[in-house]
This record gives sequence, C-alpha cells and structure tokens, in this order.
Amino acid sequence: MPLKNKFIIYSAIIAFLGFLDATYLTLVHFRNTIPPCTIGNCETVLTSQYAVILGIPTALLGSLFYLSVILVCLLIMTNYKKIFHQAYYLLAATGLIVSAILLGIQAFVLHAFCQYCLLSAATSTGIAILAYLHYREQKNS
Amino acid sequence: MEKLTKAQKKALQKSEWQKEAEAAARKEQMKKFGLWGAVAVLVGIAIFGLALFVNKSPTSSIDTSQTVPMSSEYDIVLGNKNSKVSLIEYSDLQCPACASYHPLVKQILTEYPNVRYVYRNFPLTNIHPNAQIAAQAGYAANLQGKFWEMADALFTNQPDWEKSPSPQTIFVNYAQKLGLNAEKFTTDMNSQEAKKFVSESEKQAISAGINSTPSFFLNGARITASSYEDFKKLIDDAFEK
Repeated sequence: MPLKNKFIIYSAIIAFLGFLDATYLTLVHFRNTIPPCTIGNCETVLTSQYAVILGIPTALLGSLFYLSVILVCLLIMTNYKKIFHQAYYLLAATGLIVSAILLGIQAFVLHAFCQYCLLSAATSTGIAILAYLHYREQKNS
Repeated sequence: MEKLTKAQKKALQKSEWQKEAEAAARKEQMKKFGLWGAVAVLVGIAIFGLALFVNKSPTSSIDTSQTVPMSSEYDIVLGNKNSKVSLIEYSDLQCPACASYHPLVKQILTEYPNVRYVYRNFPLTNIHPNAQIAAQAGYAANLQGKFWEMADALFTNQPDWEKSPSPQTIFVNYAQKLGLNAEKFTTDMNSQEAKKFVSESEKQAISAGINSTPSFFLNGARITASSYEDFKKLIDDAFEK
C-alpha cells in the first residue's frame, strides 16, 4: 500500500467506528426499543421527530453514509482515480454539514444530547479533517 | 549451450520482464481482492454481531424482590379498577425519559383496557423546576376526569413548557383545549390540596425506594421493559398466571 494513502486508511477505520455506532442505533430503532442512555436524555433525541427524516431513520442514513465512506476509501486504495477522490471530498463535506445541523438540533431545539449521536458527530468531523489533510497532500505532491 | 545472438538475448529478456510484470500485476490484483474481501467480511461480521447484541441484550425482566404497595390514596387510577393485573408507573411529567415511554404506555392502555393502570407522581423537583406544578396540573385535570388527556398534552409538548417561567398559563391553555372548566382547573391546580397530593406521593415514592423515573411495577413487582413488545409479554404472562 503506498504511504500516500495514509489519510484514506485512517478515514476508513474511523468510518468503520461510525458505521458500528449508526448501525447499532438503526437496529435499536427498528426494534422499537429505547436504548440505554447514560448521559443527557438520549431518549429524547432518539425518539424525537428528527430521528426519522422523510420516513427514513436518521441512524440508517448514518449507516449508509459511513458505508459509502468505507467504499470510496477502498476504491481510492485499489483504483487511484480522480473521481473517487472527488466523491470522498464530497462525502466528507456532507457528513460534516449534516453533523453540524444535527448537533444544532440537539443543542437548540431538543435541549438534549445523546452519546451515540455525539460519537457520530466526532467520527464524521474526523473524516472531514482527514479528507482536508489528504486534499492538501494531493495538492502539494 | 549455444551462444545466443543479440536479438535472441533481447527477446528472452523481454519475455522475462513481461512474465515478471504479469506476476506483479497478478499479485497486486490478489492484494486488492484480499482487501475488498477482508473489508466485506468485517462489515458483515459487524452487522451480524450488532444484530445479535441488540437482540440478546435483556430488555425485559421482572424483579419480585423490589415491591411497592398496590394502592395508595395518592394514586391516579385508569383502566379496569378490578383487574387482576396492575401496572404501576412512577413518573415525572417533566422527565424526558417518561415522555419517551409515554407512547408505549398509551399503547398498552389502548390494547389492554382490562389492565388497571396506576399513575404515581414522583416529580424530580431538583432537576425539573416545572415538574411540581405540572403534577398539580395533572391532579386538577384528574378532578375533571381528564388526567390522561392532560398527561398526553404535557408529555407531547414537554419542550414547550419545561423551561417556561410561567407554565401555569400554558397548562390552562391545554385545559381549555381539552374542554375543561378553565376556572376550576386553575383553582385546583394552585390549591393546597394539589400541592399536598403531589408532595405526599413524592414522599411515598421515596419511602418505597424509587430513585428514578419512569419506574414500572407489575402487580407490585419491579419490571424493566424498553419496548411495547416487552411490556406486552410481561402483561400477557401476568394475565395467564
């Protein structure tokens, strides 16, 4: 594996963590159970109207997002094409924006946080930072 | 060995290079396949493992060692009062987890009209400043026979009043929407009886050892459940006994 892909590898690993997190919430959602919450009233967040967007559970969208990131990272590692890099940057930026919006909803609309959602915000921010570092490296090389 | 001509040497070298290149390409291809395969397996295992974990994690249980009295004078009772199955809930109208459980309880009351449902106030006034007055609003609505409707309005609109400096106005508004006598409701809500009713039920909850809301008890025994199906199973079992 060429070393130029190190940010891509890190992204894939972080995306896998995000995938575990989001998939857990998706499964919990479809099982109609209230997940164990240790901090900040996560029941409120996970049963709020924002837990489902246009009929699709937000957690499922998260799962698919992280899976896409993993997929794109693999494509970059195995098939070094420009379009995959562009898809990677686009995904990373989308993740960051959506996370910021969801974080805003938790802070200002619901006044409640959920640890699973905060973890997801952290992983998608991590991916965005790595994507930026990768972009800078690509530009300079 | 015959001496090779220059052209032959060149051709031989070329074919060797080609072979090497092909082998390298094959190796690279295998590596790629391996990587994709490994990640696919990892993702598969992750989904399978999580599904197993979510399914296996105990969501419903009954603990007969922790019990509460079946009835008290500070109970708000709904459903069939003579039922052999009593579901008791210690709840706080300002608690978000209680609001999350509210739809489940609502579904139970709809699907099991034969269950005796007891609502007991346990306002966590230290962390929920409007819990006390909300419980008093529930008390006032109960006097006009509409406790459950008021609880429904309070839980559903919890974000609208939990931080309000004057929740009374909002509660009177709900009372009007529910067709209650607003004047009587206001008087009842602010009465000494209402205050006493709520603070006494809080005292009883503390002496019963309740330390969180919502706490559910089935025929007096502590139960934990986190989905309608969990409750359904426990209630069905209690009816069959």
